[in-house]
Amino acid sequence: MTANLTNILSLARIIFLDGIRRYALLGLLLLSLFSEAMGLFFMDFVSHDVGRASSDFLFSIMWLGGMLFLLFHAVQVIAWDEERGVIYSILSRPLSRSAYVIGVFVGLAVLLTLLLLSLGLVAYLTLNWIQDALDPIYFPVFSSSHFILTWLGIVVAQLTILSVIMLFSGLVRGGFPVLLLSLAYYAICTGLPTVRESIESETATNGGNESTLIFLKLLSSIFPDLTRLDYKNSVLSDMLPLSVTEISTDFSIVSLYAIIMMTFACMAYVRRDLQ
Amino acid sequence: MNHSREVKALIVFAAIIAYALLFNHYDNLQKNRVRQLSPVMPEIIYKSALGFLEQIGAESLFIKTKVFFGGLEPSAPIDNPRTYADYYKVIVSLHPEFMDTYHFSESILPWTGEELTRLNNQILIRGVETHPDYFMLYFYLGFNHFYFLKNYKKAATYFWQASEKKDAPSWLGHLAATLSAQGGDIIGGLLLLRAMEHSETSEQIKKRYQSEIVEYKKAVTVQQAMNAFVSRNQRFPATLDELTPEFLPALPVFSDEFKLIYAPPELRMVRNSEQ
Repeated sequence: MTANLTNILSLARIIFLDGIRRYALLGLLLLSLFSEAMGLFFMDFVSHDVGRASSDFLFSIMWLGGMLFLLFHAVQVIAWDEERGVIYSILSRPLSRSAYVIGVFVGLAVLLTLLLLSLGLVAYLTLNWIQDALDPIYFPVFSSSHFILTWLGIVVAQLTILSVIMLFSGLVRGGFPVLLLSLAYYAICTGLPTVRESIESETATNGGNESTLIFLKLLSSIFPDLTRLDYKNSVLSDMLPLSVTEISTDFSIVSLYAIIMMTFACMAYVRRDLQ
Repeated sequence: MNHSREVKALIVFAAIIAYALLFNHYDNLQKNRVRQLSPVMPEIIYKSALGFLEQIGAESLFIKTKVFFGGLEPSAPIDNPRTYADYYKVIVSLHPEFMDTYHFSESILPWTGEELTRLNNQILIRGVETHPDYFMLYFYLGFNHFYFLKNYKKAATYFWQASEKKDAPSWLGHLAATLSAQGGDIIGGLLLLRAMEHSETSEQIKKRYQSEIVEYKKAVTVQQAMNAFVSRNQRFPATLDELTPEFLPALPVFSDEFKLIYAPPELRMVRNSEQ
């Protein structure tokens, strides 16, 4: 068990070191930081709700930075291992395929968290600076604890997407197909809640097929609504958007989903023909 | 060999010059064309596509309308107010917390006609649901009902709700009482004035309220006499003189500040400067 954990951490360390040495990732970090700085210009377009617009802008940059990392770095890193034959030398050591999957996930998760942490820190300082610079009417409340909650929501949602990318990488060969599948998955996760809401309200008013609703519910469990972890609107409020129980439930559901996806990813790699 | 390189360089140079000329020509054409705000897509499309970026998407749409509006000549009429209304409806649906939408919507839509005033009121009601403690949104609703829709009773209701919110100026309650009486609800106006008088701390303003309460009470006696007349005769009196002496010993004499206006079936009390 300890040996397995050591192996996982060693592989995660390699993935992490490889990541921070890549110019593309440094470029992504710099681009995201530069975009966050552009938030100071963005607030110029807004006359009244400056604090909210700035906060929304900074969290959106964080989300986009994380998505670029997932789609254009994480997907490639996993594909490179196979394309360049690195996976064979790794698996020739005393490392199970499941440990390989978990090691890669942990390495990428640490990189992603560090990227989001840097962006979050700059966003936090920027928002504090903007609030100090403005009259309270334009930025009345800034809740640090809600800022951290929102940041955590983004981290957990993107780690969940990473777990799905791990699963797709186990099922399909090549970076590009995994990228396409991941994009399609994200699009369905984003659009499905609206479709479901629309059909549910139509069924409630005009009556409709119950089996469609059950099918949509099933689909929603496979393609979860990750925006349930979007707490951006609470950053400028003293009150939590939901109760603590509801927030804990949201985090628990999404985290459990990510664990299940990782389990499936391990199973897919175990059964996979690597030749 | 060298000759061919010169020809290539010449072609590239000619292409750059042609591009610069065409660009300049196109840019000049753009300056002279009639600007139109392009129609907004249905909200369901934005909701399905944006996910975590819903808030920034709404703010970008708002900035688009704002920049477009800012680009109009100061005296230019708004050709397409309906398009603005469509934009604001979508923006409010995507991000009801964002305050600037309500301020801009109020500054543009009601001034273009009754239909868009009603539509703007729907947008403001969404704002009131999201920001129930912000007095300005109630004030806008009251103002629209008073100034554009001439519905004094509703205006009075919204002004009174506004006056109960934090940071609201105290004269809003007084305005509500006045409009309530002007809209035909004299008893309602009296109740509002009594509440104002009760909570007022300034002795000077308290005295003013007390003198107005005396006038309102006179109007209430006329209203009560009219109600008695209606229940006895099953019709409204043709003039107020019909009420004397059976239902009222004599019609009350009002101060110079107020007068009664009777247009069957409605009895209204207005300030002498208003109709």
